[in-house]
Amino acid sequence: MPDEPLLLGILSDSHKKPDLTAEAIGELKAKGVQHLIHAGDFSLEQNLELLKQSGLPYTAVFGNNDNRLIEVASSYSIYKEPHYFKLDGIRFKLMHLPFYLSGDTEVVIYGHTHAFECEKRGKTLFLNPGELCARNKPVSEYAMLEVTVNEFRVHYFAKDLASGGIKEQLLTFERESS
Amino acid sequence: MQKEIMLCAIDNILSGSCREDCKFCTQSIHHGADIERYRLKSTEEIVKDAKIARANKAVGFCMVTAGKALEDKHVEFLCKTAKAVKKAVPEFNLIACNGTATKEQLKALQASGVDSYNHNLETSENYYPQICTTHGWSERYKTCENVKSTGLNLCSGGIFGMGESEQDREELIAAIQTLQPKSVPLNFFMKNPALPLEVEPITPAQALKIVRYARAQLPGQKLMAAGGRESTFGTDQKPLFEAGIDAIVIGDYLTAKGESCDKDIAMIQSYGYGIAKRCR
Repeated sequence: MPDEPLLLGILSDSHKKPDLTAEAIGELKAKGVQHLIHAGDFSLEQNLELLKQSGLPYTAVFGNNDNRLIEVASSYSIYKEPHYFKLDGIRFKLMHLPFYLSGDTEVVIYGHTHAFECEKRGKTLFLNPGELCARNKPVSEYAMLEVTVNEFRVHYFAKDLASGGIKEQLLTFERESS
Repeated sequence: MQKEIMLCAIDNILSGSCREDCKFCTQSIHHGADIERYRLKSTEEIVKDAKIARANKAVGFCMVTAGKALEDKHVEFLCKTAKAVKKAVPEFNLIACNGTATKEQLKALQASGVDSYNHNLETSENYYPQICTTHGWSERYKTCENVKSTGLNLCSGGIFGMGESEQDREELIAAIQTLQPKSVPLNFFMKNPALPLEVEPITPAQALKIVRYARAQLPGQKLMAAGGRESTFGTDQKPLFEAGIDAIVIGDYLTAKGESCDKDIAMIQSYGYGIAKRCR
């Protein structure tokens, strides 16, 4: 991979909150992400359209609330779960439901639980960016995955809806397959 | 004298991040094609690809980046890489294909060992707005003129079977004729479920008619069968060469698999043609 880190915006569970989805995409773009990944539950086509209008390449999967989006799928980069793809030669598995949690890729991204989770098991990084929609708590969550030759750096962002302030937490993991 | 077919390899060195909306292209971020995406390959990786291509008897090697235009930040990298590829395989006709480009950018590439620049007109000026809305055909033509003015060899062709009329095809070939490129890649549109073009695949008979017309109109140009050769003609490709094709792309295409190089070479030889040892 190139010397410069690969920066990926990681999103999930927009539900009926396009305003929060748009804000997160804007924040991630300002940080220079090169690709957006969304783990599903858009609920509204408008949320999917925000990814498309970002001007960035993106990859998304359907969530359990996205049945109505199947008929418009041909207009977007959205796939059935689990979806396998490669970025800079790194293999990803993307799903909504935390069901296919085998470590058969270097990165596994999922959503659905509305809670940020991040851990490395074996060679695989498992990441759930939490909820964009702030349904379970007054905080809109998303993440940025920074991949270097030797490390995964997971930046977790939590935007407080009352104050508008964004708290950031950084977790670092060594890559083993580089 | 035995006719010799030139082989050209293409290397997709930056994949899948193009913001243009060209309807034929799986690398556009607008269409969501399920392709491998990556940032720039390393110089070492590209040199390795070049050596493999040469071992497969390629005499041309084309470094392709996704995106509308050659970005200044990539020029330095391409120059460094061009020098490394030329050092490893000096006999290559080294081609760059990096979108619209200024004369200054092209001169820098040329000074680093790039011999040719590929920039296709794609289709006729009239039909182009049906294929792409994010930039105009005239920008493409201008880049081709820039290539010519720097003294780089121009490689410029198009894609057929995108719903264009026969008149569009003739107009495209007439436009190519005005540029007098060294070589003309003829692509036949390859369908992909993510692409918005809903057209019937071009038939071998239609494709051969295009090749014959291009041969007649472009007698001094190298005619190259590029993308869609296998999907259009299958294993019966002899008529392509009889119609005037004198070069092919071997190996994989930008995002689609090609036939194995060994099979293509054996096929060409079975038709009684030789494999060119250098790019004329």
